[in-house]
Amino acid sequence: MKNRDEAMLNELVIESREQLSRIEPDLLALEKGGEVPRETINRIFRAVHSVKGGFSFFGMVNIKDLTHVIENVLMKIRDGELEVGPSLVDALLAGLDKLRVMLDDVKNSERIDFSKESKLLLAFEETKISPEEKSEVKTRPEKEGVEEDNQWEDADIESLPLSPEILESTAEKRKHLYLIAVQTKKHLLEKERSTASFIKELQLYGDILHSDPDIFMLAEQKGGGSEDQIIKIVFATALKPNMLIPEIKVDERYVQWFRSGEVRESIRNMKNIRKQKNPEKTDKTGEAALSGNTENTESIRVKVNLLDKIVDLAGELVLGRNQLVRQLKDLDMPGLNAIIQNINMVTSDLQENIMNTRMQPIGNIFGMFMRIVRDMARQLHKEIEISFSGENVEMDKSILEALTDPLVHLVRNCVDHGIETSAERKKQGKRREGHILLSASHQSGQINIEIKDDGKGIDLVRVKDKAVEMGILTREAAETTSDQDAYLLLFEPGFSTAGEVTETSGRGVGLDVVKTNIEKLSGVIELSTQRGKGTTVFLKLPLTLAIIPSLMVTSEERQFAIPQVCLEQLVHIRANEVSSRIEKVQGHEVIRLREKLLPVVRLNQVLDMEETFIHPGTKERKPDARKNLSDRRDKIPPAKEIKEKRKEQEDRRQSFSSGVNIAVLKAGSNRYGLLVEKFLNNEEIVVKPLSMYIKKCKSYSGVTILGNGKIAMILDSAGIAEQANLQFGELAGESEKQALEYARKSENKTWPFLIFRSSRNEVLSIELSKIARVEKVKADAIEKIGDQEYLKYSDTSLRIIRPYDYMPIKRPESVSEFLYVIVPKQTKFPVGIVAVKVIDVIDISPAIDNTSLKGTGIEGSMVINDTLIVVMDVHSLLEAVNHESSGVSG
Amino acid sequence: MAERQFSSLYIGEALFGIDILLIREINKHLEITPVDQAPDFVRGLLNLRGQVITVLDLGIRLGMGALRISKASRCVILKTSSELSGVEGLDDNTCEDVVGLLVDRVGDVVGIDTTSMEPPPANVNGVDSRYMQGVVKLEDDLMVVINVGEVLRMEDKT
Repeated sequence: MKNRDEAMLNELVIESREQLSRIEPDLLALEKGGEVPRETINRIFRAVHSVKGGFSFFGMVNIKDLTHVIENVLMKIRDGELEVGPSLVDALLAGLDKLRVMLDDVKNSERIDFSKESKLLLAFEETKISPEEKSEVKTRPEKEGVEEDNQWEDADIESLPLSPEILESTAEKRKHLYLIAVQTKKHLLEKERSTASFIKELQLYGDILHSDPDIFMLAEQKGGGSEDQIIKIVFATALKPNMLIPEIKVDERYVQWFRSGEVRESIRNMKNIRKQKNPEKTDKTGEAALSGNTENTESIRVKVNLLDKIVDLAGELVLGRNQLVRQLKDLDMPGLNAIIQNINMVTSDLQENIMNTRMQPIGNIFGMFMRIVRDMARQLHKEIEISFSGENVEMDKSILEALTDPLVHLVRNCVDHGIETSAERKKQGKRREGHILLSASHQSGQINIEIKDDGKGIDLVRVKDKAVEMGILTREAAETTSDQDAYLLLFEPGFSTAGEVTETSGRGVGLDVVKTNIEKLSGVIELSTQRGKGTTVFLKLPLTLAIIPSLMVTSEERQFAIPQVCLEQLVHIRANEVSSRIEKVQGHEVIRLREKLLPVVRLNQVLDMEETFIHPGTKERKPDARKNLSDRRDKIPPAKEIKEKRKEQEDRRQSFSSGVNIAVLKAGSNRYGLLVEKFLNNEEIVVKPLSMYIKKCKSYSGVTILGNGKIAMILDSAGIAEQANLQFGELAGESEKQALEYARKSENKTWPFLIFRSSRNEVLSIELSKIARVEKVKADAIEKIGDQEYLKYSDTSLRIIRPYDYMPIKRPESVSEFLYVIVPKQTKFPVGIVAVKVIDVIDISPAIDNTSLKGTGIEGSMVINDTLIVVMDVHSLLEAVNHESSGVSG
Repeated sequence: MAERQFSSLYIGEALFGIDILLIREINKHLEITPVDQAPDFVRGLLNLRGQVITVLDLGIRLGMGALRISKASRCVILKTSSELSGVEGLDDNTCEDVVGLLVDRVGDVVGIDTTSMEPPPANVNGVDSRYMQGVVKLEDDLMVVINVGEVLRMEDKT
């Protein structure tokens, strides 16, 4: 019993909290003045009233008393006895805030003192407005036409605001339906009847099925409500009009009567119409009506952990399906395929829908900003309006929750630093009130959020100066930094602490924290500003956090997931280059990448795993004694010798992997290399939280279950950097020195190029940094659609381009079984360039001869080891392709 | 008079008991993924029908040394504290996470009159008394009733 009470109380608290937060915008709307729709006040009143009702049932005297005081004030507002102003709204908000405090600690609510709030409110309750002022109070009846006599003329049963279930149960009980319209002043007050007593009388004779305005609002009206209004009531009773009308004393002109027979008839009609519309469903409605279920439930409350469990189970169902499909594949059973396909579809559909249950509209958090802006603006003596758009954009609950803090920060920035005081704005010929717009929209699987103000903007020149002062930027760099790049400085950690900058240019306060938080959500933050015009911050966020694309890697036979968001690039260092590419600086291993030194962390070391290697002869795992990667291969034997060695001994340690695999990770604004054993595939993983036993391990951000049912830890790039105790700052200086040295040593800068053939003869090359990846595919996997070829590639299809179709080079004579597809970076549409053979990646100085060889898709040529290499210009190749395909379609 | 039922578990030859009301299920699927850097008594993670379960090595936790997984090994999966919130007549609790306890072997369920439970001695089989709720004499053995709440408690220092 006790448990049940508690559960009910908890439910009530949750519901009350929601109600209160829902009416806050209404209250703030009241303050704005102007025409306040009655419905707004009614809504506030209803919410407060239901909180009061709920808690007085539980005997919570304090909550009841406080809500009662608030209610009284609201009633005065509604009855036009109080004029709404900022101080009144202040008092009401204070009351609601205290109410929230009580709700947060419901069991101790009896001990919470609310005398201050109630004194504030009572002061208002006692003030009265003089009659002249009263007429100015801006409330208005919901509908015009108080004079209109018969409200229900021509009304028919179908058009009544009643659910078919209610109608049906009325008909079932052989009750008559009446529509009653009374004018409070004319019909009640002048006859010395109060609205409340009229309602009570009515209820003696039957049921009020619907009323406009709400009946309990009417019942609460003291003294019958002062202003004239029309009350419309739908009433059900067994009494016939000749019995009823004398009892309720309402002129029969204002009463419309529907016999119970008529009601039944019209229900039959309605049913028939519905039956024609969707024949299967009628039975169910009938059932619902029979069971007396008159409640119209649009939504139900579900515990989040139950939802999570369902998500888990749906994932498990997918695994089960996959296993089933594998097992049944060999069976040759007719019809089986169709069934499997059906299960396939249903399962994916189910999973998608379950994911949707976690979605919530962003409007839920927008509501709180009205209050924040109002309170801050009042404090700072500014006049600021905030408006919203896209409140209905839905996003995952977890993202929404994590987004609240950064958004609050950004909006506060707008109010505090962005928007000027009214006087200042006037001087500049702007509108008195500053304006903040918070908008959200969907765009290709992402959510865009914009926080826009029309304040003074940011002085980027000052920002740059300050950055130089603080040593973030060198003077030379500052001069070359464009304005578009300068705003990035605002996101630098520590930039915020610079006092003067925040005063002269606003902003910058803790923006690095906002950025980190947004990046944690796999989001992107950008900012644009115009001096004197305002600033806009753009946020791009994924729809859901629960599923993230990740790279799977292994270390010591264990699988780990690295989220793609913190992945910068992958580096494979071949065995003979390990000692030259990886070296030691101050006892730390570092890798040289594009003339910068990055610290290298070995995953197995940072996780304290036992280090092993696979013995080439026995293929067993054995403990590894080497301590430093750079220790080995001090002397590199000449290439010829290596070749010889390779011939006589096919597998040394482990053919390809005797090199080193390094994933370059981002940790805040720093980069480092994480050395792993192998890179596996990319996978979309479902993130699950860590239990309390593992939460303290900084290296992990979560855990996931892979497609094969195995468990893999998700690595946390910032955590690993911390765990490995990486000193980015110290290394930065050192790396600069080394980079300079390195640059001096190799006078000619070199870039890595991918060398490949697309037919027998020509050797082609593309700069490696322009390539996203290279895939080996079966030649018959490429499908032909019209004149164009496509390859299915994860979720998208790649447009396949054979260079010889566009470039002045020869076609291959034979068809090979396997092809390589080179996927270039940053193309307008996904593209794959076909190669028959990938030869190598070599560092070459881009001393390209662009005179002797010219043509579509060719940037130039170079000669290396007596071979002519064509350097491709991907951009111009794609332009040619684009041109052709648009020519074909048009 | 109150009789409670205990699932009997073994670590080596030592007999322990856990109230069956605390147990969700007992599983012999033991494909446990170790987690590096986790505290030593965390054996690893287990995929139980799509749910990730943290498996604790009860041997290490009770100070009896790491268990070796054999055919008889079992994972005793406990209910979470929220699952237990409605259960009456419990004097022990679990935690928010789903946790499994790795044991060497599982025996029968034993009904015990709670009045026959004696307070724990300072040390049984090298087990610290804080991990014991009490000791019960069975016909031919001594069963140590585990203080599950204490076993699951995560010290702040590690």
